Amino acid sequence: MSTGNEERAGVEAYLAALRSGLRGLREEQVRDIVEEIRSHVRDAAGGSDPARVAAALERLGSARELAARYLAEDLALRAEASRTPWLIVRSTVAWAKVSVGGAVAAFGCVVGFGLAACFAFCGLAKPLNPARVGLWRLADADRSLSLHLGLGAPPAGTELLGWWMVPVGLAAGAALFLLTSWFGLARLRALRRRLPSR
Amino acid sequence: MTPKPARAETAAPPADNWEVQVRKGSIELAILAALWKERLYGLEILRRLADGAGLVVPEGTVYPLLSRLRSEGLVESEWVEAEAGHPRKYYALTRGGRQRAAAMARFWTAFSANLDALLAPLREEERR
Repeated sequence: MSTGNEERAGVEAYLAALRSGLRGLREEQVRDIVEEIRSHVRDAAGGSDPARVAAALERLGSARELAARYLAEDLALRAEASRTPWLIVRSTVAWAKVSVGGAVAAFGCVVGFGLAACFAFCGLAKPLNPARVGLWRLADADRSLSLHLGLGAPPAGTELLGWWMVPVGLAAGAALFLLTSWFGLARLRALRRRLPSR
Repeated sequence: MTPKPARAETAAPPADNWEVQVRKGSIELAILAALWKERLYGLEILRRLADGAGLVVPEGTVYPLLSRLRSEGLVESEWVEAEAGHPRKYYALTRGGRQRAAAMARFWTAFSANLDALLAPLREEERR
């Protein structure tokens, strides 16, 4: 049978896990959140009965999930304010930990920004390494396309764009960047309006 | 005694995604409405939603949500020391929060009235 001390230790362990999961927020924010959850557990348990304290903690869900949700909310706000790709990706990755919709958004953003970076890189690197950078139609059975960034030997096949790689790469990179930013921010707004179905 | 509203969770199978979405979509309005008359702390808000509107919100969800409403300037919070017991964090509507709640309530009322009119033939048929 657990004692009051053990239940207090359980609450403290939960709050320590919450605090640890909130790394990345300001210390003042972390303290405020931890104290609010401590206060909630006291009220929800309505005393120090071990079973009721344990039930109150269980109803809150895991400390890791709770921390992930706070972090996701905070990062989404910062991403919407700054609109920087790094924060948009970080925020969608944080949402991926709490919802399937977040995972889809994170995947879309990583692919979108990754492709944007590749196209922009090709546009910029083409004049420096014209023989190895560009868009190739491969000589394989599928006649698939390959964007070559200049690492290693150029692939076997036909280069399609030549010097057009510069404007096309920069324009495609910029378009993909804007499109992915719009997609990421729209998904973040939608995710923040939703609650987990648990 | 006022009859308690039916809980949305028990009114239909939980797998009904449409009901879940409607419930999720109304939680922000419900929280702002719960704070219309008085400031409340987290657990009081949860109980007000459950008892007053049949909205059962997971406890671990409402606090990050309140944190967002505060970041958006719709609510403000204050720690209050209780004479007996422990300090609690109370939430109250800001001026912006009152405006937002009023606008949401106007939309909700008009929307549900229009939908009710559309649903009238269904109800009549079900009564027969």
